[in-house]
Amino acid sequence: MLLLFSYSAFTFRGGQLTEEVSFLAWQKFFTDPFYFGVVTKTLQLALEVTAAALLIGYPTAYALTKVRSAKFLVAAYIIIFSPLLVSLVVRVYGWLLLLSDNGVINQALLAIGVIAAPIRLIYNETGVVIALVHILLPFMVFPILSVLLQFDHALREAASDLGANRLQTFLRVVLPMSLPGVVAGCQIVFTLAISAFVTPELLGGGKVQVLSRAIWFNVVDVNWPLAAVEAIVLLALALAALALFDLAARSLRAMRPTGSPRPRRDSPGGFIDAFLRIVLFAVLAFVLSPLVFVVINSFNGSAFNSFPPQGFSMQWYQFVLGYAQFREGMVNSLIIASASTLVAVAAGMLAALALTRGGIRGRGILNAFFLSPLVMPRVAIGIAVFILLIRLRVLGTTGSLVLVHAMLSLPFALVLLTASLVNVNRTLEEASMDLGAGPLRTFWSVTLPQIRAGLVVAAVFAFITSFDETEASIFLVRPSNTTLPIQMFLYLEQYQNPTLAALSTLLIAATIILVVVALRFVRGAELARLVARR
Amino acid sequence: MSADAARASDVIELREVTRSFGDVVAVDHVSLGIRQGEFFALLGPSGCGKTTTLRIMAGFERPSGGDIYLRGRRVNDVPPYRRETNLVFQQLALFPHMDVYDNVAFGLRVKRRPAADIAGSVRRVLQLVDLAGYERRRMHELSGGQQQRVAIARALVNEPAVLLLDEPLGALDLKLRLQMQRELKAMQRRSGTTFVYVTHDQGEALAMADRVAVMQLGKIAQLGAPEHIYSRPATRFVAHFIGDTNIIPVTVRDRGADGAAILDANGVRFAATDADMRPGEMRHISLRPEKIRIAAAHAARPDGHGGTVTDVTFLGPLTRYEVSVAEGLRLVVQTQTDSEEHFRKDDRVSLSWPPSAAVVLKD
Repeated sequence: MLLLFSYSAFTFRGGQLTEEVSFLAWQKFFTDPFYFGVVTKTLQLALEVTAAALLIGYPTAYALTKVRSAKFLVAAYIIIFSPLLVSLVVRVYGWLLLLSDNGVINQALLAIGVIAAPIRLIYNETGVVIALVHILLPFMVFPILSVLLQFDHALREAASDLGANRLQTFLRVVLPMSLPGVVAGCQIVFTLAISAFVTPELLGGGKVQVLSRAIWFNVVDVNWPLAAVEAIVLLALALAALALFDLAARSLRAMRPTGSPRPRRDSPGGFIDAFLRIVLFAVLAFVLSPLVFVVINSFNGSAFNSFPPQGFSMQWYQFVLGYAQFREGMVNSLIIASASTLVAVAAGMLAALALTRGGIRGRGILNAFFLSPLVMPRVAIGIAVFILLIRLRVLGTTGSLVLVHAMLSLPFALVLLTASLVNVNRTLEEASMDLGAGPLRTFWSVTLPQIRAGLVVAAVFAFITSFDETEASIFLVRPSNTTLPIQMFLYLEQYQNPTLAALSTLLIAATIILVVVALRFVRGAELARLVARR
Repeated sequence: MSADAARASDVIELREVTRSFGDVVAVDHVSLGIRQGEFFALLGPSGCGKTTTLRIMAGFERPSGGDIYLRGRRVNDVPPYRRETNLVFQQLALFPHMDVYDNVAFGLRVKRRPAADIAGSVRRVLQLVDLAGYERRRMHELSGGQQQRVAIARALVNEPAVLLLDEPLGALDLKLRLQMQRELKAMQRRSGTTFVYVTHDQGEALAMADRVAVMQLGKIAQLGAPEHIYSRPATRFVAHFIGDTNIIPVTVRDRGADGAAILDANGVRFAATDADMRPGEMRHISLRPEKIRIAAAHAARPDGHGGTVTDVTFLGPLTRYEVSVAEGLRLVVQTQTDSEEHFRKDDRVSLSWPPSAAVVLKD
């Protein structure tokens, strides 16, 4: 089923739908200068976001390699990862609070007299870039980090033995060798940035015209052929970007280190390390601040998201709990997230077993196929499935949402479970078979306990992915089964009061509880290993 | 001995078993029978096919050709979990998420034996391996030697027809290894179980095994009791692999009246008690260093060969000399350090050995 879904997402819309209108949509798209502008804007925005994320992400990753306290390291990992764990709408809402005219930053700057009038930080490109960098930063940091962590310290000693100072060593040895990580990070960030929808929609104030928004408006206007054309163009851009970065990565492949690496953290001291520490703390603050202010604002006495908060109040919590749409959305989201987690983890497990255990030909192609939903624009998936579901006359059913969400979380489950299975010592399985346990019994009593960590993390990821899914679901829900993030998105488009802050705080609390419970099953080192492998 | 008779007394029998991986033939037409209750060693350098042979016995590899019989039943297609064999893995492969008791009980639980029986069997086998009282220990709380014993107990408790051991002592340090060798041999005697033991360490094989099969390039080079293999190696490879030796290319000159052959090695002539040679033939002989007597040149025996000491190495209880006997013929000689006369480099000496010491090799 999942295969069918992702397969249809590849092929369906190109053929039939555009044929019916005899390429008019294509013609319009490629002749109207408006759409050319949209494409340029989309690419420009993605480039800016990628560049900014690299500028912030590289020093962060580098600083993380210098961290010696294991506890702090795990905490830093979790903080940098936290944007992924918190609903997209919550994060955008946090940036609204920080960046708006009467938001935290403007009010603070006004108060200390740096500026006379509020500067425009949202409802323009600046805000969109800031928020996107925030969301995509982990995708930049972790690939770079995993390459830097494998760095052979002996090379650094060799460089210094040959007369290079620290800066020269960094520029001539460390930086070139970490380029594969940089390319991988840029690849993911760029691909995700060109397809971002919620952020430009909510923070762009209608001024940041990107492809995903054009798709959304065309769907709302029932101009589906044009939406399909845009989705195909978006998909093509994403694939082209992937291919280009792959090409870059391939040209770097010759630089594989020889011998086994000897990683070692540097001795402390020096003003560079102090600088790196400041960078790290600044980035951690940057990552945490929207969430922190969401929490603060949820107790705001005023109805206008004003800062500093005017008085303490629990009224927004009362309102949230009484608001029927949120309650229904919550119930729907929980049902869909639980069901799709089950489906995604079960399917991911089977696929991971097939990939790691079965001697299947074309393993690489299969793997790429399973992972494709990860890099495919969510909006494009949304519209493709939307059209497919209309054809199948199952649009808006809860079952269809469960399957779509499962398809979107499958890559996470697959990556994590494959990584865990690869780590399982095959001799343990052989030992079990030798002692008389058949394949099923062996899987149950030997393999499964070994991959418990990966299983828990995969389930958490799948659950959160589904629970937060907005950009594809927005095409697929009906009023009767609208999920919570969609309700929040719709609410945020209309109202600006701390209700959402209260709801977001509750969600953040729930996520923290979920993560803490999950961490009880997983040791920090295992988590770090899983993360570094991604 | 007829084929049927062989099968009756053999627990495991391999007939012309071959296993190839792509173009590489790991096991090449190997035939052997392992007798009930014996300690059998498969010995050879890495890559000789000994581990693959063992894995074929355990059921992890399927023969590409030939047949394998377990207690007279053909088991080519029987998966490991339906075979009465158990394997002690080189990396031990103890389940890290279970304690000692659960590890040892695993096989019995899988077979759904009653809990009371399991408890009894586990207790007995833990006593056998001297680990009584360790039931609730986790794997990381055990020393290397203790982990070793858990691995053996986990296999033995299933009362396998054959216990297969894949270099189980490889990871231990020398002292512990020697101790575990003695313990393994004792366990094997007490339990009466047939052991098939894979090792690349000839000392280990000689010390423990009742019979040894030396493997080379996927084939069995020689099979026999350790003493026999040591004293009568069949090939240059076996002679070299088991212990230290002098391999000397010789030409057969003559046959003596007593049936001994007169050999010539670079002009040095000596006798060998091997009948199967024709004059003019080129062969190799193996001459163990400890079979050679070394004496001062002035005290030379009539059959002695004069030479010059070129190197002396002190090995503790033994002393090793290299003696140049003729142009291109240098012999290694080993003597007891305290019982023999001592020589220095460049000393003139005389070497002698009985005709039975020169073992004529097949290749």
